[in-house]
Amino acid sequence: MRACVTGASGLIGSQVVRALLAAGHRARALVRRSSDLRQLHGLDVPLVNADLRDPLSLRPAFEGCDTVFHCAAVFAYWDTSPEELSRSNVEGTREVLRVAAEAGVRRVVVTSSSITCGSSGGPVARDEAWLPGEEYLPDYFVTKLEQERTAFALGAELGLEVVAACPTIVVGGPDWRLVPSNALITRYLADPLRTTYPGGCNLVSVRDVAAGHVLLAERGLPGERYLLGGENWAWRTIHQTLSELCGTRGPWATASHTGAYLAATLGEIRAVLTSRAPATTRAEARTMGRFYWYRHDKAAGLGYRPRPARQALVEALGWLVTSPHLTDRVRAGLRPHPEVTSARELLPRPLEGGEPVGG
Amino acid sequence: MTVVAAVARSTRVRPLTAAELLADAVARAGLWDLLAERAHGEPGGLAVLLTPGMSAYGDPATAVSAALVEHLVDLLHEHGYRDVTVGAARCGPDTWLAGPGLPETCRRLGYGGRTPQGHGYRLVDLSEEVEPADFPDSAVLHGSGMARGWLEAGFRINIAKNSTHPEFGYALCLANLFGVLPQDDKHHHYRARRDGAEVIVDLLRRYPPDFHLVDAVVSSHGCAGSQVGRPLRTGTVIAAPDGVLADLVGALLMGVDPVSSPLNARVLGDCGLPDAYRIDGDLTPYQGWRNPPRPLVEAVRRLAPDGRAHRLFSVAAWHVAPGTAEVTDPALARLSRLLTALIRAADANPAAAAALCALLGATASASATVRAWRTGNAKDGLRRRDVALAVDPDAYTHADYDRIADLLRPLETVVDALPADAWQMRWQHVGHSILFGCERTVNAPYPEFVRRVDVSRSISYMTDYLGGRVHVVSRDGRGRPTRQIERNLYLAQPNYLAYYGGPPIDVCKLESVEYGERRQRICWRTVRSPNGSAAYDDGSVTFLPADGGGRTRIVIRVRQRFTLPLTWQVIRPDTRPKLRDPLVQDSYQRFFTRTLDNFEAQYEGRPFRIGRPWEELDDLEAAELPTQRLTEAARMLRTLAAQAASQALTVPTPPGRLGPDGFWHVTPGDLPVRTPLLEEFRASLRPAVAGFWQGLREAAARDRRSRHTP
Repeated sequence: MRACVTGASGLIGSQVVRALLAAGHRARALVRRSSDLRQLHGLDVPLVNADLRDPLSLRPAFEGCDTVFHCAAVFAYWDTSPEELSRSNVEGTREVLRVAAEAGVRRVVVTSSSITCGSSGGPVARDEAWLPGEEYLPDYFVTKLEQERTAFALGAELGLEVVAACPTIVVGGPDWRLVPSNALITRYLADPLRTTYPGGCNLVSVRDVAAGHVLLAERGLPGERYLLGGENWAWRTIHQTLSELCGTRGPWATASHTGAYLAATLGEIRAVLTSRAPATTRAEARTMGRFYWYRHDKAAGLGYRPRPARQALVEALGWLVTSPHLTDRVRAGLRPHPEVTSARELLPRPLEGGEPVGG
Repeated sequence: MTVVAAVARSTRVRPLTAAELLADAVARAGLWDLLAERAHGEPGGLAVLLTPGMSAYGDPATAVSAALVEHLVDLLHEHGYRDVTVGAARCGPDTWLAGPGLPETCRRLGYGGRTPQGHGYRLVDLSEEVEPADFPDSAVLHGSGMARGWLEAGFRINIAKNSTHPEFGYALCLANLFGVLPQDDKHHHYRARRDGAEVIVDLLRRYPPDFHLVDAVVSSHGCAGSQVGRPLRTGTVIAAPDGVLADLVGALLMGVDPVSSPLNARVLGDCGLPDAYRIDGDLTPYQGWRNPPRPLVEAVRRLAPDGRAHRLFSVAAWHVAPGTAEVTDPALARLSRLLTALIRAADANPAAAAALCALLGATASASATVRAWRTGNAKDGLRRRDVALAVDPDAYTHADYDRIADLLRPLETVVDALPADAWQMRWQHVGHSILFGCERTVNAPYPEFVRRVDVSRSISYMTDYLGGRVHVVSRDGRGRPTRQIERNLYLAQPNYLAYYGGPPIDVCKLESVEYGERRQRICWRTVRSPNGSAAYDDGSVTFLPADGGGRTRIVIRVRQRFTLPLTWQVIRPDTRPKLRDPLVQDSYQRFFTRTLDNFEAQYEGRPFRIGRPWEELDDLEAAELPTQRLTEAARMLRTLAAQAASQALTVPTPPGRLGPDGFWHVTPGDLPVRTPLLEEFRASLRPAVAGFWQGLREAAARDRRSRHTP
């Protein structure tokens, strides 16, 4: 496969590049000129500078590729307007598909989201046949829905094979920008009250999601969407596991909807005053209590085998507990389990002039 | 040769003038013999530098008498020493003063360049013409310069005022040496960035004065005699070739324990007294002498020298002589007037003394609490102090380093035999010390790991390492250190001990390093703890290949015994194992988990160090006192208040109205209106507030629904 990955400097995109290289495919990483390339550290992959807002820059990146993985998206609940989200997630997808068709690309795997299948009020797992109901949808959710619809419609119009990958809550590292799904972990560890909340989610390792993307490129049916998930857990179970793996106690409190909303409001006010991103937003607080539980039988039929949720958390923590996303004060209170420390994959720093000293 | 400390005193039965006291003291202390020895028969060619204690802008009562200095100049000339220079120092609040300049102000103090007997001398500013000095790499002043006048002097005479000091208790020859150092901002460079005692020890070791005098003809006593003058005629001159000895005599005459000053105690500990010495003179304490009250001294000592409160006190407590200069910052000037007035009042009024002690005590408590909080919660903001090695490298032979591994072997055997927990940590109390061991196998190939993680720097990878100094004694054929001395500082462990006054852990270690094909190892033995924070901190770090070299095993074994703060000593946790064991286990597990994380971080090149080293920018920032911010804030508030009053909290709106066509429609007679500012603000907030209430109502409804759901 000769593939191009958009959003290759992001959490999923970088892992898709890794998975492609590991599987022996030829990959090309599409990044913006201003992108932080730490996610691609240690990878021998050609970089192409392009911007979704500039279709002309996309064409050279897609030339000669038979598959495009469109992982680029804005995943944020703060500091982005609905228009900006739509421009990046919907208009950007439209441009990628148009240029891909022009460049002779056969298949496009679009990174969608499990939230396009909606969420449940109780512990019920949904599959690809479901759609969102009357529940509250933050702007990001809305744009992902719109992105998926646009991709399938435009794919059919342009004669492109479009397959949608719908990852659930993706955890793992390296994640230098800290996506909201990993922030769910760091937020809990930074919370002195170790607060849990009702509802649940489906946890999946970013590596499994990346492997799932490659699988869909190889075996996915055009015009279909595939949920790429792991295990369905209640938030309390997730938080208990996090505490256990980090050598702390908790959870000690359960948030009410009102409490979570007020805390998020205060967090947003503080964020405005300090010009920093809030730990949580009102949009996220309003999704609390829902069950984002999914089945991935359709992808499993293609050979998708995700790791257990505990292992996904272990690997995510292996990176997150030593990352800059946790303050020194928070880290001082953690005592990661050997399971976590042994899962850490270390990347050697480049040697400077004059080294080695100890070798 | 026996060193003589001479005390010349004027008494009722034998009254002597200042000149006579001086001549008597220097003669008995052997000044002329020392000078003759140094001059090699050519007294005219010997450059003699006198450094009298003075703050040129300060209270004349706190400075060495210019008349006494000129008497000494006369005596020197009479003995043929014609090349005499007086070095003037800037100290106290000089950085924040505006005045006619140092030379002019020195002239006002009485230094005219020619004595009444017509003997000439030069006056130099010791802050100028600074040249590189040759301090060894083990010195805290390594890399610092000194005034050319000091470096080139053939004979240096240090002259101190006999005075009390609110922090040291007394300030004599050793304290006066801060004045000969070149930086203008003495407090920042020689108290905050570095430990003052270490600075003086380095100076005494590398560029010492040759003779010391204490001008106690008219002394300055009371709460802060060195800063706010309170003259007392004591009719004494002390002379000695050794500064520590001169201070010891001076302290005895004040009726205080010579080692009650932390500065003198530390210098005495490091440099010691001369091998043979004799005190020649009457040591009866001065009549009517008042030392600073003990609570005051304790309160000032609790202010950390590298903190803002200490800095503000040390600057504001100086009395600036009227007419010599003006304090440039109005808030600092007010604070200085208030504080010096309170100090003066405290000398006469016990209630004022109590108020001063209470004020400083409260400030010290607040400052210590903030510092303790930062120890646990804001480590990156802490500054690493420059420190000396604090041990003499020449005092140890190679055999001392080579013995360390053998000394540790029995301890390591015991540690290895202890049961390990899930984290591969093992520990046990042995007497009052703790044996601890831990290990981790990391996902890094051994050859790559040892290339990136220098085993000889293992101490610096420990959690909460706050800097130090390393002196390499020997290296192998590839230039790698094999024997070294290291002084290292850590934050108080566990961090919460800082709230109980726990000091940073400060230890000096001998270290031996091995670089084997299949093993790299550093072992260390503590030889000194400058602040008494540790009795032992011995141990080893070993790197071993694991899984055939595909991974690396890090093994740490230590034996430690740290000094607990007073409160915890009273609790005596050793007698309460149920209290002690969980606390000890928790703190060790946290410390070494993070230490092992730091080894990984070093391999990956991730930042993990705490604290900030001093940079040039810090020197600039240090020049800004908190009072200056206060002044700026007051000015800004005044400006804002004036603006608000002039605009009456309104914003102008143009005449007319905006039509649906997007154009602004103005009809004759329309006038600009002023919308109240608050109304404007409320209007901009209205949508956000409405959105908030809607979200809150929905959240409450969800809560109600979830309560009704079984």
